[in-house]
Amino acid sequence: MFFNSIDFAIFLPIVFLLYWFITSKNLKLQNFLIVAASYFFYGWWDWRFLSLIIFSTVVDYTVGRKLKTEKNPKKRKVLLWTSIIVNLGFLGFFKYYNFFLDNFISAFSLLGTEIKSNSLNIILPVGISFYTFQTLSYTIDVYKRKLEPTNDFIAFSAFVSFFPQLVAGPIERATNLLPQFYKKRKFDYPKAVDGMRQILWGLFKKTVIADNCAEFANQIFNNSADYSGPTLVLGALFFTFQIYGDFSGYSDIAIGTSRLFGFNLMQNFAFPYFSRDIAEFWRRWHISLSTWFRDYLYIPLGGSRGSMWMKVRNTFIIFIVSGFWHGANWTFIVWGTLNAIYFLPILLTKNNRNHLDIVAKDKVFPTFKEVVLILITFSLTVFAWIFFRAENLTHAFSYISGILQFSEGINPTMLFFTEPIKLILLFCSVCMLLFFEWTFRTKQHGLQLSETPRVVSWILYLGIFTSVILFAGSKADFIYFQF
Amino acid sequence: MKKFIVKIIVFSAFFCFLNLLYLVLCMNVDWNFSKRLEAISLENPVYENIVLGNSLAMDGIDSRRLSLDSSSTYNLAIGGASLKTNYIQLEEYIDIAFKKPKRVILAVGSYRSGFFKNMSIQPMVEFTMSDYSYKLSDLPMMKFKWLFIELLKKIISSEHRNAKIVQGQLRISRTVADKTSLGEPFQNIPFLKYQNSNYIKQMAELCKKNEIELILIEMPGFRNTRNNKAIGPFDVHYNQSLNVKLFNFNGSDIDIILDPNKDWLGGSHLNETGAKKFTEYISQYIIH
Repeated sequence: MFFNSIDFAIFLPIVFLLYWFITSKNLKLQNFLIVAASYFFYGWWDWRFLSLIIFSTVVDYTVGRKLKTEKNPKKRKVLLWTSIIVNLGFLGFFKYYNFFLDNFISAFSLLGTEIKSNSLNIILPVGISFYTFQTLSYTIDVYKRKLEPTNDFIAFSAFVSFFPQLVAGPIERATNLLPQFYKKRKFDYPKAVDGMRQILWGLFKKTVIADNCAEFANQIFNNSADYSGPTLVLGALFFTFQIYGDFSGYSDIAIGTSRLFGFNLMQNFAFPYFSRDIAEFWRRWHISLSTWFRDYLYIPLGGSRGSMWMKVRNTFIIFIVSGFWHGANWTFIVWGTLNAIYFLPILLTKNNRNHLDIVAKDKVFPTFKEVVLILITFSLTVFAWIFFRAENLTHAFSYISGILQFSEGINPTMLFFTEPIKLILLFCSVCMLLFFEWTFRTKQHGLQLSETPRVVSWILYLGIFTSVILFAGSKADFIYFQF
Repeated sequence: MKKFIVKIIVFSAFFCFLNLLYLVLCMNVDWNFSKRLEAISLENPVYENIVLGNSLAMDGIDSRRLSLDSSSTYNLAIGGASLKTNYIQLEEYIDIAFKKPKRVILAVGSYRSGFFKNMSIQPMVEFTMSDYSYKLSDLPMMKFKWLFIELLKKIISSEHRNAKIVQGQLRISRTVADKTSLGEPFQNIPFLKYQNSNYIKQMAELCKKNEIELILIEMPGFRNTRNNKAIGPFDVHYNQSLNVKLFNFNGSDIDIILDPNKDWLGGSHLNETGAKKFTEYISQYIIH
């Protein structure tokens, strides 16, 4: 069930009414409703893969319980590895089996040995990369005694399968989300209203920005040989806004929906395209994944302690693994490596923690230097997205050579004449996105209109809602569902 | 909680009102919509020729011009119509007609990808069908959302504003030259697709039952869509007693009639002058 579908528009009010009017007096029943609704939500795609979620839930719950009573460090380690192997085993099989097999065969064929391919037609269960990491965070935190294991199986099932963030995050930590299932939730009017605003803003980013940009980005990337260098740059820009609108839009809808039910999820995007260097960008982009890797991979590897060589090694590991998490394709690995290369000079000069606050805090406009830094960081990011979007490395390199060689072909003016009105509307929508996100950059999302006069805010809500309906692009899947 | 629910209800009510407003706007401003409404409200029509098809036929067949050479003609073709839609329209027309038409001209462009596979019903036709049961997804702002861009075109472009519907034909004076060139090798006409189309067969059966002559026309398109076949007519066989004549007006020599710089509207559609010339030309073939 997609957030931008009629199905969800029916599902959400029904669950909301049952949650607050029928089950609100009984916490267990309320949690049970969340589990049932979440399984229904997930089963709407493919009910067969529900078994994977249920299996992971049972394994991690049992491991957590046993970790509480087990004192022997070796046995505790075995328990931890049981959880890691089960969770990463599923992820590895469904996501990476064919990738490793194909590369193994290619490597042998380079050595002159032909191996018959037995690649399987594996369907990737939606959201597996997200809920796997979420349940792993529970087991690791319990193992490290940072979190008391739960006795409440229903609450734990609700934590693993919580429908707003089940399929594309934010990847919540057990330390933040699980305790919220133990407490009685009270309906909080300002929180619910702001949740609705955030949902609306998320829908705008997804349907107006991402889906419309996707039409042009797909057209240009899929036929890149026919387009001129400047149009290819434009294509990369379209994709840059597409992926931001798509993923941050999803996160906004997820966080907003959770707030309707009285939950607080972590902020997943903090206006990343206003970053002044790549370190700041990664503190603001997909925060839940970056911090997950920081806490469960980077720090255990030694983090920024130790020699410079160790720091560089750890930085490359975390970026490459992060790239590989996105998909079983060399393009994602190159994308991750490229970001590590961007990060390297800042790390070596110890400037990676220069910009911890949002740009131009307490000011209306940024300084000239800040504008230049933002533009440089943005350009580096746009360049890296080419690898992320390309079908394979050959495609990525031919796309980049098309840009660098100023290749001839369909130029931006010709593109404009084919769809003038759509392009003008899209340009205005992107300007609106940037304006709102800049204005509310110190807040949690781009439509947190707490001090705006009521008439103005209602006109805005209706205007944005109307554009979500009337100017929505061709319905496209959320990009991050495939991860 | 009460305040929250009330606000949601007020917002939903306003959204419903906006939908109603949008529907009224579309019905009065959009050509396809107003044409559809005109077609279903015809009272005891007596047209002898009925034109069916999609936007290629709606723009490209001048029904008033055809009425001069033959008898009264009405262009029922509608933008985005599939063959299934055309079948529904034909059934509807025969039901309301005071006098059954003598001839039905089904004008399509087989070169348009996915045309024969399209099994959907054109949204405006579906929305106004008498036995249609409405769903939540039929909210006008959702169902007709693509018209938003079309409405904007009318605000911006005077050529779009000044276009008019005459006996069902959409007359637009705008000119977009055909800059394409003939494909090598020339495409052939997909006779098999015509023959395998269930809806053309059903239209043929319906016409036969009502003693109506069904004529198929391959509409002209930009030069890169042309085929290397003669005008014909070719017989399309459905069964031993069911044959339909197909005229090919998308042969490579159609440029004799149509000026690539003056007669086109873009995307293989004919403009007002192109449609007039084309209709004059075809009437000698299809009107006996």
